[in-house]
Amino acid sequence: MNENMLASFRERQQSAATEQVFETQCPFCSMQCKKKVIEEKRAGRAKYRTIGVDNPTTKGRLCVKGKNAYQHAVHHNRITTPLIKYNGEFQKSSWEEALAYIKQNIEGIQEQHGRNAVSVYGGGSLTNEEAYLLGKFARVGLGTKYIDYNGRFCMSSAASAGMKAFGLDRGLTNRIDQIADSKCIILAGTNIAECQPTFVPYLEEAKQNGSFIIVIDPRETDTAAMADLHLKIKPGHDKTLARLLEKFIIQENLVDDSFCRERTNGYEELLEELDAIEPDNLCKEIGLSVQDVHEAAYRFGSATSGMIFTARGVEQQTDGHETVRHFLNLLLLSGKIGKHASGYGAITGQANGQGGREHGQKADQLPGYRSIENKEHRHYIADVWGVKESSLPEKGVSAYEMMERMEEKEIKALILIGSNPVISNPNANLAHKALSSLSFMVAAEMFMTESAAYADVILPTTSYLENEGTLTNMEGRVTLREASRPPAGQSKHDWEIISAIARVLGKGDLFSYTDAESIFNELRLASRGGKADYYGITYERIRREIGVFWPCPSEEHEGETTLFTENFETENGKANFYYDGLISMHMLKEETSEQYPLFITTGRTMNHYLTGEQTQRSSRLVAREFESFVYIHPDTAMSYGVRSGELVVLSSKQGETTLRCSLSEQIRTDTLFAPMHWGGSQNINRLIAGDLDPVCRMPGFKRAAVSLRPYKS
Amino acid sequence: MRKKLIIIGNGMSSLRFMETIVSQSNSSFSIQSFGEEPSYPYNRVRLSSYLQQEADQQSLFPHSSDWYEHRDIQVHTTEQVINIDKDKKQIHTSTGLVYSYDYLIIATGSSPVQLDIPGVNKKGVHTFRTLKDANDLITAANDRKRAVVIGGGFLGLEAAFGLAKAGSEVVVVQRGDTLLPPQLDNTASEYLQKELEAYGIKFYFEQSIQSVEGENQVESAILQDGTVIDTDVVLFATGIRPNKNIAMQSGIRTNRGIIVDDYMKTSAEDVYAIGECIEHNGQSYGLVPPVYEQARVAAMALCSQDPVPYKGSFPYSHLKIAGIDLFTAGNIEESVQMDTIVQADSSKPLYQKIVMQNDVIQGAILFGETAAADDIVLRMKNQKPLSIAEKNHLFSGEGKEEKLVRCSPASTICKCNQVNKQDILLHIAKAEEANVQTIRDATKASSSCGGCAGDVAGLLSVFEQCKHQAQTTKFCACTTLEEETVREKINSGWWKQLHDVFLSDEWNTKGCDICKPALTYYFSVVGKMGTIRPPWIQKHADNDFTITSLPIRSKDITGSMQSWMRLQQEIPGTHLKMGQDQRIQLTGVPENEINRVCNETFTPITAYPHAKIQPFHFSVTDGNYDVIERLEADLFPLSFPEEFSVQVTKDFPAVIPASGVTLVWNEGTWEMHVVGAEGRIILYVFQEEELEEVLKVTVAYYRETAHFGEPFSEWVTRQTPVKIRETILSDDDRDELLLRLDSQIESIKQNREHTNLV
Repeated sequence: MNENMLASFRERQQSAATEQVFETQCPFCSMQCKKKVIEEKRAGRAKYRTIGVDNPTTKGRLCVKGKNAYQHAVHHNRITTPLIKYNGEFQKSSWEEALAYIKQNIEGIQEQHGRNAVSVYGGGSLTNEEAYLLGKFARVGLGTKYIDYNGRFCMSSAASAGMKAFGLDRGLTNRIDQIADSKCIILAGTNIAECQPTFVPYLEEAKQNGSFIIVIDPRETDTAAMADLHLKIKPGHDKTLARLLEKFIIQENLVDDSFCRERTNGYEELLEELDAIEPDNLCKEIGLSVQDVHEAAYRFGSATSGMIFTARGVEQQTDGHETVRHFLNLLLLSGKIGKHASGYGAITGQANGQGGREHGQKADQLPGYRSIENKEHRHYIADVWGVKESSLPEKGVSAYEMMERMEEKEIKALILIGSNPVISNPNANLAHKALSSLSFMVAAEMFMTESAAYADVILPTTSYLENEGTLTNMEGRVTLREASRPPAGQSKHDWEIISAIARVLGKGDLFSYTDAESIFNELRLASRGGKADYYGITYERIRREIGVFWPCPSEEHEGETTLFTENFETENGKANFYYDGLISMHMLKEETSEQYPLFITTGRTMNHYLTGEQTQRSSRLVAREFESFVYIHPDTAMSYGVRSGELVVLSSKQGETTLRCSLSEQIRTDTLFAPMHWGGSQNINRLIAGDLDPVCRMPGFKRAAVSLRPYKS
Repeated sequence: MRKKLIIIGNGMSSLRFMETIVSQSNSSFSIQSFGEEPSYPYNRVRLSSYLQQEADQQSLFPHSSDWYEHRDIQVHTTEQVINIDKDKKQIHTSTGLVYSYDYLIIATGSSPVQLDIPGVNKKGVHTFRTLKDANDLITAANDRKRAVVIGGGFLGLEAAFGLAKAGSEVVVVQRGDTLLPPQLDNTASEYLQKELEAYGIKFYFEQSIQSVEGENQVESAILQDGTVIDTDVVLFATGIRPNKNIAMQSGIRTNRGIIVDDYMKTSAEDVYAIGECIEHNGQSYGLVPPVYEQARVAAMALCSQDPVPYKGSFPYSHLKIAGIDLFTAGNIEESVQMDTIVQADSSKPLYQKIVMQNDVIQGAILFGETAAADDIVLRMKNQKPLSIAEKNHLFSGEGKEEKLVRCSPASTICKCNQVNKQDILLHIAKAEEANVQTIRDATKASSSCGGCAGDVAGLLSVFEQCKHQAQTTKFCACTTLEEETVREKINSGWWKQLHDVFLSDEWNTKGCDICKPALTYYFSVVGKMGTIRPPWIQKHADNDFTITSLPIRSKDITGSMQSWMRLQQEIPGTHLKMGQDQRIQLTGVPENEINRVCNETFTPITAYPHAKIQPFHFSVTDGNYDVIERLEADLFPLSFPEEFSVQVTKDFPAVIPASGVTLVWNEGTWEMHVVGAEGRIILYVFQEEELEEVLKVTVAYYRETAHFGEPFSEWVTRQTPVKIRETILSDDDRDELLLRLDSQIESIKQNREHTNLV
């Protein structure tokens, strides 16, 4: 036996190999690094290599996630046939059977409880084509108003802030390589060095060119290590900090007065509002020294160019919208927008968080960043789709609120594509209750995720190596992910799945696509004249130019690289200052108390992505981090009697989670940090409350009050 | 056809230009250079060190003649260019030959200014520019013992020091009241003066030379105020003048120097000029960094699509005198708009001064400690303001390089790709010409985010100071092979047994106390060494045996006792005893019954050389006993590179032994705790049913990859927890390791011929 196995190893070594090359893009973050995966087959066994491919955004670089991203795609646990749950057990079925079962249930529920009893939940990793199609499917395939997606938990603060302040929401207002020329860069609540490492060379280059880098983070992250000035703020106080920075910029006379007068609305009101601020007390309250805050303001205000980047740290707060608005105020005050190397960047988290929020996956939105509440917009889209305007549903509710409606049994059925809400929602117990309350649920998935396990039908979907489509990267550059690997087993692309369900529901004529490109061509038309105008972008152009920036209204148009050089996209063409806080009077944020004396904040690590469904099926990534952890300052650990390596229980008003203690001097003594990539008993979102930002419905993932105790006492 | 490129000059700018051009992959030129000096291009900056006997003549030449040949560069020595015909694009040289060019680079450098005073033609009057000058000065210093240096600039002081070191009495005559004007202020100048006076150098300030006296040979120098200094040598170090004549005569625009634009182009088509001979925006430059910058700009202008313009340079320089650390940069003149940070300590002596405008550094003096120099240069180049914290720590604290030298070999340098310091050092040690690129290719360090590129480059520059961390160990005195190579020869089957090693050409003895046990281990770990009779099977003189059981762990010992008691009854002449450590002994066992006893009591019949003879202390109050007991019996008779332990506990262990793994039972999961570089590491956490596989893979991987004698915790650090986990998690590696381990475990259970090696 042993000898035989040895012999077979040897044989494998000697037999000839066949090689296949798959051109693709990393499936993970919004950098969308281009790469190729090389599959070498030898005597039935496959080996894989990943090589970065040059492109304008990441120049052929890959991080550890991208290098190993093939591992989940070729994983033996992939779901490869439709599954139907009978008596609590999943059984394999044919596509016909599964689709018939879906038809029967959806039609039954809609007949009995109305069209809105069925909901759709999407994700920021879907391609533009699929995000677009999902929105169309909800509105004309199902006729339901209930559609939203996980981007609500990702980009909604930044997106709504950009819309209100500038009249347009694109990840970066400038081409990414302009960062290198920017003389002062504020990184607010972004650990980009670990989350999206291929971004970092631009910061390194900027530093070489003399840029002063300011990092705002409660932790000394790898990003903070690059900073010239690190503001180690108490979690959740970023809005106050931004207002202090505004105050000091005004106080030091670093305001670009003519810019403010000519190109903004609300300048005088802002000045008046900031007048009352008393910096000394506020600095103390947010855990910073006046000197540091003043220096940050002085550096940013006095630099000849500057950029501000925000990410989830400041955005995933119940005042996320307001906070981002105040950071945008800083840009406007100092006139640092609409120019080379001056502008704003919302660090998009998910692969297609950008495109995903432009084409109608959101409850209140239609393709091209159009509004479902605008009569004109509704007419335009209805025409493109060949339906009556009056047949389009009204706006629905946000992702978290959809969960509430499920729990209240107003929503009876769910079609889930490209998301894992049981882990990614705040107040994870609600997500559990919501999905348990459903009468019927369909999930399109590659793996048996915690969320898919609630489904009645699971439809096997293809991986990124198999599924072609466009994704809009963090810059706003529309990229084309090629895909040539044949689908695993009987799996189908998400767009095929959506179309197939539409077909059994009798809407086949509205969903008769032959490939992703045919959907994209319809999307171009649907987005035409909208804010996110893709009309001038074609597959052929993207291939030739390696990505095209939106807005791009015609095929002759180059695509806008620097936004707002002349005008903002608001009604009067001027940017809107934000003043007169909405929720300063009634803070929705959890405060620490005797019972819950510590803050916790959450985030990503270098080795994993989102809820870990993909990265935790990659053995190399698991080898780097095989379980979750919580960072605790050694002094804090000492006073709570917990040791490094020990399991600890964190409790909040919402729930409990058990994590391994990792001592770190890089964190504030009043704050803990835990990553968000794990589910089950390590799910950090069990601790997070369901309170939402009143403007954009973002939950406050980045701050909760918790208590800490050893697991075994 | 390749374009013809001609360079006038064999100096430093010329050399840097050539180096840059040939390093560009898309360049295709045939290059010829012409110089008046008889030698190949040499590093003029090092002439001071040469004069000071800190460098030998050989080390002045960065490249051998082969280097030029391989790159298709023809260096013409002692061949002066006497005319440029810019219309015909030709040059004429002193040999009467004519060469045509597509591009011409003028890099004629500068000449020392020699004052027009009486007596300058006398023997013993020198300048210091060329290798010949340096050699002449060395000869003069050897023959004659007194020298006067005119000029207290960089060159003057470096030469003065060289002469003093050679034994001359040296006097420096300086026109102004400070040294190195305008780069030093009064204090720094005084500090420097004091240092130099300690070497016996004397100074005259606010003086100039009037005349040089003597018959043919210099006898004295007369100063402005009439002071007479008796001397044998007068060295003029009073500045330089751009060599612009050849350009001027050929009708190329000149002023003080040859006028160039931002891409180093002169007024003539396809003619460029670089180095000390140029004038750019009214400025000429005499120090090396600007000259190098210009060479680079010109090279890129010729071969890059996207050339970078020259924006002028600010001066900075290190004084090249051994034992004196002095760095100056920019403009240190103070005014109302300027802020200054000064730190002075005459006892060290240490003097550091930064002059800033709006927090941007304008000038600097670092005396006594120059670690901050690179940072200052970069900041002056990119005009980056200093933060408050940086102002506070500008001169203090540990430099990046010291940190790199000091940190342990296991420190992670590239976080993205998990590359540690030792990986990089090993590459540098092995590679012929290591650079950032070769490190990236070989180790992947800095290939992702590039955030560690600075540290990688840093390791290259501090390699000499930490190369001991990269040493691969020689096996022993019996061979010149390294441990890895020896092992490879054993694993690959090149050597099949101990004997083969000692007979091979690579072994010059029959083995020693170091290599014998190690080789035995390496053979045994791949199953190429017979097993031995273990100590729990003892042979007695009367040819019967005592067999000792493994420690009995279960609380209920009935099961284990029963088989022993049955055997005692069935085999005549045997007796049962209770041994130490909860063991049972059966005495009087005849040889032909050993197999049966061992099989029925799960006692290993054999062990491997270097086996851990004591079983592990496996015991835990709940969990799966059967697996644990079987694993113990399976694993401990295997050969281990060093003392190895497995402990099992239910409580969070306060202390864990460095010699092995501690398994912690935690309500359905196992945690594997080990000691790593910084204390406890939880190597892996896994489900109950995975225990056997995880433990076996860990053991197998340790046995196969540890050096003989390498303690477990050191192996964990060297191998890194990530790589160990990768092995545990990778299907292929895990299966192959288990396969090999299981075949050895199998042998323990079979009765084989025992080679008695111990």
